[in-house]
Amino acid sequence: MRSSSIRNFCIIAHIDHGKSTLADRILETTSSISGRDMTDQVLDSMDLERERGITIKAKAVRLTYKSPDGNEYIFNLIDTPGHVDFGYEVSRSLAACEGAVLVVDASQGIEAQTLANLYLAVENDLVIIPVINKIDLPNADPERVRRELQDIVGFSPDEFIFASAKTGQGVQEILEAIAHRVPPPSGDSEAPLKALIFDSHFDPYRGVIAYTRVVDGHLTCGMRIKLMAIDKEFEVTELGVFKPHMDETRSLSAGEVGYVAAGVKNVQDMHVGDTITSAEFSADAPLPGYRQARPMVFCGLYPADTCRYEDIRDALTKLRLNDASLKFEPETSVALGFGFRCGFLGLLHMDIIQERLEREFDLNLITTAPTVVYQVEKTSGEMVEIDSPAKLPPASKIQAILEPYVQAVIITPSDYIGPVMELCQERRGEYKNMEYLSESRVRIVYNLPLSEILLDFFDRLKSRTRGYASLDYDYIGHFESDLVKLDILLNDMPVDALSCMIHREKAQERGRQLVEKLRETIPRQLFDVPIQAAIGSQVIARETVRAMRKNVLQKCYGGDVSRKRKLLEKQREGKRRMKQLGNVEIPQEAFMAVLKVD
Amino acid sequence: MYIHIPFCVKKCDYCDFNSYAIGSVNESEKALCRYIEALLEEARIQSEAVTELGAQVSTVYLGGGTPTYLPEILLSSLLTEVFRLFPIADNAEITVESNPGTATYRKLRCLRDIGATRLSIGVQSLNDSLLARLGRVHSASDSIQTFHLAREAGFDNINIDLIYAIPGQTMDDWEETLDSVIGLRPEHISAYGLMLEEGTPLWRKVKSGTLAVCDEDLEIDMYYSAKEKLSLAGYQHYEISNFAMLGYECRHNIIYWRLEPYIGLGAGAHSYVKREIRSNLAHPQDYLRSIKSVGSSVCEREVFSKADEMSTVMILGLRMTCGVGESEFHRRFGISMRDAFGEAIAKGVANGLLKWDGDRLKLTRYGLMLSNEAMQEFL
Repeated sequence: MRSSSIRNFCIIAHIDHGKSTLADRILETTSSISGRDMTDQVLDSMDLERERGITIKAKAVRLTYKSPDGNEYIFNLIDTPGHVDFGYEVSRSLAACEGAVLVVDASQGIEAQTLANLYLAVENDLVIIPVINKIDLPNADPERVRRELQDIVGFSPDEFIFASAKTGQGVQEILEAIAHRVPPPSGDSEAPLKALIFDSHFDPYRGVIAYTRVVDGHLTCGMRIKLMAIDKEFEVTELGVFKPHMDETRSLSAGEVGYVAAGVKNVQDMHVGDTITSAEFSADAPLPGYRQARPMVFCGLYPADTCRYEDIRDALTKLRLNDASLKFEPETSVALGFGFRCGFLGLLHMDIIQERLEREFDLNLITTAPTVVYQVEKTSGEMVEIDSPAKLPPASKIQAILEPYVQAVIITPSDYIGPVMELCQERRGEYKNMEYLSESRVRIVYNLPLSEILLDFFDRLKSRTRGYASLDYDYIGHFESDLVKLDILLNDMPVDALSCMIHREKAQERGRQLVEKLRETIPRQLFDVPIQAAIGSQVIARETVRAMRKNVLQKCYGGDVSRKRKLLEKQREGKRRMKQLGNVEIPQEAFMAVLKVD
Repeated sequence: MYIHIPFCVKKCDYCDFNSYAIGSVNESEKALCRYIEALLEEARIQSEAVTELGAQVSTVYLGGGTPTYLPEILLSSLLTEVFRLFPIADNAEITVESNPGTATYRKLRCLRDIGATRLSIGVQSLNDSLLARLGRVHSASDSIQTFHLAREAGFDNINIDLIYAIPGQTMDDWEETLDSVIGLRPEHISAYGLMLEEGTPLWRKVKSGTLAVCDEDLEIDMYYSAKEKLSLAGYQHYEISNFAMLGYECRHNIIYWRLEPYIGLGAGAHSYVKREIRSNLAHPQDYLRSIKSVGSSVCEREVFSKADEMSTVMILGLRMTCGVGESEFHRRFGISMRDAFGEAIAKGVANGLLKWDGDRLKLTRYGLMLSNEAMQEFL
């Protein structure tokens, strides 16, 4: 195949701005999918993705486009995940492209998160095709949106395409722009093989299927390949492209996008960002930008029903087949019994895994508050990493505690500079810099402890900026902080699953909020339940859930005995869902209360 | 036997019972007639089943709504016909519910003459402003007058219904009502903490913040204050919300609490016969239509297993201060209560909600207001 006819591109868009519809339209127009196979929004195949309107795993589709200029083009549409947790994956998907179609809603204008991804694309030297979508809607104002985009990114007025993915208007123009504005891939098919892995999934028959963009050289079936980051060799058993179903080919050469199966049993061996090279004629250096994905957020996952522990293990094992960034190991809590400590890329990743466990595996989970990974320097000089407050060594053996920091980049309308900076300061942020992207938009950079971001930060940011700010963050290292472990005691018994790490200066306030929140969450029992927050042996806050005095059906006569039974059954059912800690019954929400304090 | 009259002058602001203000269902006297006709139709059909069982009816309870809202002629024809159709025991307890203002001397006299033995009066409070808050259509003096009229008409077994924990009610208000009612010396007093039922006008007022609910501690204090005052005045506390002079306990309700068989006639009435609960359609018009067309208005049937019946016997029986007897339980089910409910009993006793008194398992004084906590464990 001549690489000069190949165009590799992605679509950058905000949720609801029409990315999936546009992708569908492109697929339809290039007749890659017959009408019969066409279900709405082909690219987002998981239910969860559809519901949340986000793309979790990148996908790639190969299309053939016959241009009116008489030439035939091969289009590779590479779909990208759209959330901050998956920033690294987004960057690798972008690295597989030469161009990007920027889709902006004609009535809403550009959203901050889209802008953040757009900057990422520009940094990766992608050619941008700005599309103003949904121009058929009554409140569309494409001219205003065009001016705004010109202002922010410096597009020239004639670069814009006005479109409606819904009606098909402008789609042809977009396809032409992809053909003529996006450059063909520039790799050298004679050079040693370098192919970028930008995603993978597990197939029970073929093993791990890596999604790859060949940069230099070529892949052929049967060749021995080496994965450069992990330095392991495999033999290619199958190659192919997505049309969008998997279509086998004999080889893939420079510029092409497709999949490769090599009998790899473990997704953990196929790292996103890794470079595939030839085992025989190895490339000198891997492609730039590789980073080992490391879980940043940990939490405990416990079965609400203790006998379902093994089911959780099975479910996590299955999910990990397709998700190299998911980590888990068994953990035991005094309060919650047997469960798992799980590591995630970020909060959304955590949410998605939890939801999939509950939905696809029908599990009822108790989740403990998420925590970051701390590094503890012991007095012995030894350095240990802890992903759970329960693992903190005794205070006497701690020399210093280091916590992970991130560089957070916030893009916001300039009206909200004050509130955004205030929020960052409250969260122990260290101001780095601020620049105006346009008259009305700024990019603010802070260094922040990751733990502060886990605690509601994004929600706060959105509410203080009316949803107009975006947040991206990147791990920059572990730094020493004055941290303490805050314990919660219920009925004088410490509840390990409620402990958390906290900055000393914030411990008092947080302790107060926590016990207050727990007092509201824990229902009255037959006796007083004291709730205390303590650092070591020092109690810093205390509340009491007063004993229940009344639970009675005053009027009970004839008749409808079964209704009365149902009322009691309902009460009893409610209790069954609670966790018994000593003689205190605690609702599952209590374990998440740690997250939701004001 | 229970007979339901689902009509009232006006629906009270706290009421979520199956009752309809005349006007709201567009009822006229004619409609009342039609309802009674349907009732009697149902009674005729049911009476055959009862006769087949060979059982006697030991209590009749005409409840509502407001049965005394019915014209005298309808009341008398209803009761007369029921007495004719069913094998009523000689010493049967025949209760009629009434609301102050709807019961004239003539009506009461007529009821007594036909054979009513017991009158229940919905007094609720003897404080006019609290009555207004409840949306009651009568005053305190109406209640007192009705009570005296009932005595004159020959009722020597009268119940007075009271409500406490009304928004804005103080302990003094409550005790004042209690004292006045005790002064009337009714044979029976029922005292209920007000339940805010979703969707009622009172509930809406509380929800919107116009009214503040009664503090829970105050409500509990009111309950125990009633218990104390009434005991001192010679009333036995024989069920969570019921007090009676010795020998005047409501036999009809005791049948429910012992889960003995009962049949219900009328809209929304329930029957419990041979372990089966049968429920009639609740709305009078639906009830009427189905009785006329198919001779039955049963819309739901649920058969209790033996285990269901055992647990229900405990749940209901524990409502009575005499509790449930181990030997009577054994006699009824052929299994010991301790074997059937060992864990529930142990937990209740450990929590201080239940206690053994010889052969009988009872709620403790503390357990009365927490009875649901103890009862859940028997399910």
